[in-house]
Amino acid sequence: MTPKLLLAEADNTLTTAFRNLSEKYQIAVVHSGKQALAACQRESPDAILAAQHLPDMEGTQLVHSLRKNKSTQYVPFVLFSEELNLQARVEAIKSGVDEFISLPFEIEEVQARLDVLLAEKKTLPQTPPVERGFSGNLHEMNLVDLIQTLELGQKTGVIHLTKNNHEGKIYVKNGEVWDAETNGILGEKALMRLFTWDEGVFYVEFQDFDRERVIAMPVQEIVSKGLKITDEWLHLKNHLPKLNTVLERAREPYLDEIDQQHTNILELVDGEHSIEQIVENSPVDELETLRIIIHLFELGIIHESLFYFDTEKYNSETPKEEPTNGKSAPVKEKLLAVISRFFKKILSPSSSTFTEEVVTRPAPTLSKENQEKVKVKLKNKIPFQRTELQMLKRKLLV
Amino acid sequence: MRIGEVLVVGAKANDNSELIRRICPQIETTKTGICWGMLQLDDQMALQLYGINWEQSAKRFAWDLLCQKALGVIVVFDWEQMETFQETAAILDYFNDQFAIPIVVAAKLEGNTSHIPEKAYRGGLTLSKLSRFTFYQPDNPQSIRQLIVDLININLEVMPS
Repeated sequence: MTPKLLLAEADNTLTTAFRNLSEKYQIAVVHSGKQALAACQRESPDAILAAQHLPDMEGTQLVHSLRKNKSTQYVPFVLFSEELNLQARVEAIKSGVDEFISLPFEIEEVQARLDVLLAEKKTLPQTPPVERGFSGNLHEMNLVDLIQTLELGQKTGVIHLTKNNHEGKIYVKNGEVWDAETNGILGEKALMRLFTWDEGVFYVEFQDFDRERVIAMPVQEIVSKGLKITDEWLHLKNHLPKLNTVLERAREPYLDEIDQQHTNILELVDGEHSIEQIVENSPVDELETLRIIIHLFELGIIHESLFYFDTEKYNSETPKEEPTNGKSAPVKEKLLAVISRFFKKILSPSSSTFTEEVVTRPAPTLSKENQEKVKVKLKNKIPFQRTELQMLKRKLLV
Repeated sequence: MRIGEVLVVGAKANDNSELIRRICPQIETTKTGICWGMLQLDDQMALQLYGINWEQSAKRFAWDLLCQKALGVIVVFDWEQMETFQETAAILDYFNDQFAIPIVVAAKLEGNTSHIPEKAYRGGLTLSKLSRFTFYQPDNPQSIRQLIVDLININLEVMPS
């Protein structure tokens, strides 16, 4: 069978090099670390070839995430980088890289090393998660279904959940839920948080564990709570932009306009954290946090950040294309902040209508992604309300 | 009467007019690669579809006027004719760069669905967060209607609730 390769790179260096090898390998290409993680779950590649600098993460971070996941822990990983020094190589190997190839490279050498890795992979035992368990997608089988399944069979095991780069575990003994953990949270609180994961993957490992029982709630009560949380979470999510949207303050609240709980959440809105990060850091539970965020939106106190500036992404994207003129990154950031404030000013409701003209041609220093955010925010000129669009959709589907 | 506007853009005028003709009972055409038709959904709602041929001079067209009100752009190309692929990428880049408008890249597919040309997975089309890629069957009106539904879905995603 033709081996499946996943190429992860920001530019087309690898893609170009592998152009003439499409008969030997099945090739899929992604352009970011997140896309690579998703593609690995979806495509189960035989090997992954990644550039060190990806727009959203380093290649070493990518391999580190892959090695933590049982379904990808043995997939051969080849890293391409311009870094030649020993320290960089050692770090790469430590993070789980199988081969380290310096740029520029000869395709024949890559091919030879790759073939060795693929041959070695064949001799490895198959990945363990499905040996004594099962795995799947949370979108198709959610946590409530999983817990009910284990309860029905009176099973003992650990449910491993992975969503983006987050992991969660639920310990089940003889069908009863004993404990849960995610992002440093334990017990019931962690379990309730995990019920809000409506996407990601899971696998169930049927094995005994040495752990004290922390959750005393009977399974039926857990299931009923889980169903309520899942439904409510989906309902609330529909009233918000995507959960990875970064929020910022639109205005300060008036005196006594909001209560202490709202204030606590508002303090987490800083123009850098996304909705899901705010939920994670919130002192109140997930559902209440979403309710408060929606309310703050309705009051006009917060809105989506138009000018969220991802320093990491910016630094990884720009140096090659943009002359620095001797200016350091912090200076660029400051400049960006000034430009941001300028645009915010002209975007305020009291500003005159001609500002659209200005904003649809944003300053070249804004990254492409941010330009898009500006334009998206400004567009919305279609003469339809949300309900009318939904009606239009229904009519089209008839 | 509420009228939603949809732009259908492609390197081949025939693809545009064929798509519009399939769902609109009547279509008007000009000699300059522009056509339009209306799809009446009920006595209150209708869709106006404008088919515009993409060529060298197309960038001088009044896209900014059309894009202000339109529900989005359907960029049409023939999946089996890879020579139109480059032009499609150029159209997509142009709209992505110039406008914040929902875009559905619609690949016309007749018959065999298993063949995926090499170029297709080599990152040739750059999709932004406002664009989607999908296939459609030129003979199936429901498949064409689904393209407009996709545009509406993108609008709903970015519209404040």
